[in-house]
Amino acid sequence: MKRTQELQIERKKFTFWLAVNAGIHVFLLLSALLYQYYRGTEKKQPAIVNVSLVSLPGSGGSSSPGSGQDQGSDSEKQVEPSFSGELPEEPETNRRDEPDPVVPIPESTPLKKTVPEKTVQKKTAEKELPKPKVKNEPEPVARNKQDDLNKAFERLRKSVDTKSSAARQQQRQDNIGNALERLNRKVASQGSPQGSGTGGGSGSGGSGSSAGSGRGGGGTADPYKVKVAAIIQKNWEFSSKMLQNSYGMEVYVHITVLGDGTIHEIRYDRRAPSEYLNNSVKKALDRSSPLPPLPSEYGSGGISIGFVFTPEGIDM
Amino acid sequence: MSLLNSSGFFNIIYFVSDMTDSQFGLFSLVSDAGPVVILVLVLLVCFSVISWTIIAYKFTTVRKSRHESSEFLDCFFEVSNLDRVFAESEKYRNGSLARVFRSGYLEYRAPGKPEDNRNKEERIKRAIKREVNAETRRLSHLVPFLATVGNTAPFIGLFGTVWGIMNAFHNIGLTQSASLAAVAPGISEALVATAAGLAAAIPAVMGYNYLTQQIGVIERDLDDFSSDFAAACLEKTDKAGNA
Repeated sequence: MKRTQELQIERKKFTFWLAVNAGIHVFLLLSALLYQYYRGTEKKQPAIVNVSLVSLPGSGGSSSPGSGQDQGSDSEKQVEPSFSGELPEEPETNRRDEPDPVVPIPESTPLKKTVPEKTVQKKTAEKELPKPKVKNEPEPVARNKQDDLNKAFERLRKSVDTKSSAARQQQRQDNIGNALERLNRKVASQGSPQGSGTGGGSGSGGSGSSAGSGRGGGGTADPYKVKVAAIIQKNWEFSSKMLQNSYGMEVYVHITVLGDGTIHEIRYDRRAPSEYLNNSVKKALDRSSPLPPLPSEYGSGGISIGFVFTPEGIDM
Repeated sequence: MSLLNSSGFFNIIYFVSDMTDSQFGLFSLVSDAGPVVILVLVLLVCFSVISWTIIAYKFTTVRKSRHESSEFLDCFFEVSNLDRVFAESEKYRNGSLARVFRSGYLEYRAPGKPEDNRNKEERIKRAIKREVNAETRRLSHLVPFLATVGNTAPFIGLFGTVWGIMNAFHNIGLTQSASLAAVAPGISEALVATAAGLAAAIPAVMGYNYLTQQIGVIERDLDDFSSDFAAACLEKTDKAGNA
């Protein structure tokens, strides 16, 4: 009898410990689950689109009305419609320096010659039509604009991804060349009041000519700054493959240029999360120094120029 | 019970499934694993639960046995009268030495003819030995399971990993992509099984070693005590016979 009683007691003890350990295991699994869940929710990144992708490939074509009328290659044609849809929004956020909005570009006649642009123009026309009606109801307009923006971003990303890096570099150089050319034309037109007439323009993948108003003026009005930007861009070396994450990859830099063109000071207003990008900026600026001597109109004291660098290069 | 009504229960289930389906951490890997890997994981979790149960249960039993045995041993050497020691041994029912003593004492006090002293001596020795064996068996009961878990759990986990990697490579072949993004998730998913096997085996091996060592100490105490106790009983029996 005693043996059976002892066995029962032992069995009860074992069952008790079994229940306790099962409970502990369940508790540990659940706590691990909760821990991972809450840790995972904390790591969620905000859905912010990197705008630098928008401004780079077509910056030459978008920054000035003259280039907007250019008949470039097929690759540029694919890019342009997205700008026609989203540019009225863009200057408010990122391109405050640009004096001329590009709204009237899609309405110009030469664009109607090509089929895809017609369709895009129709879309934009359809989207622009309800604007006067919707003035009392701001929310749908905002949604439409948001949709347009999103579509434009997607199209741009696709087009940018498909291009090879060599083509991108070529395009950048073309853009800078275009900017310089436009500036020269602008300077020339300012010198001669009757400077309007036919203008030449080149696209990213090719070149063509078209009739234009002759009004230059792109992203930067200062020829010296454009020259400096072109020099820095030539010395820009960066591999985007080294970046794991492209979010927030912008470096805001102010450089102080002395009268003889040497870069006296490099000041980081905002650093990128990647030290590789920050160092690339510094290296590009070091390689670019000394810059061309300052024009006499700046005096001999030196000037401060601000740049925004993205993984693709300089973004003035 | 009122808290666990049907809607609340389903809410909990939904919450857990939502978390496992989410893209976070270990449990997302487990939720994507195949049935064999999940079976292996469930088996290993069961092994782990049982191992910890045995460790906790045996730890308390062995500790209590050693504690009460040492107290009983003090009492045994302090008190010269065997009857009083037997009365005191009632307090130490979980002590192994007290159990052996009670078994031998009952045999010592068993009714018999005075001329059967030689037989009585044999009977006492046999009773003590029987109780020592029973005590050893009682203490080491379930402990070999820890050794089994310690030895087999890593291999069971490895089996799950091999199976998972096999499936992962098969799927990679189907997708016709050898990029790291295609290879890595399947392998990491499969390695969870090995991790679970090790998590089950390590405490089992540690518990097994500790308990084996403690039970070995108790066995040696029992051997020493049984010879002392048998000698004391025989001495008293001889005195009683001479008188």
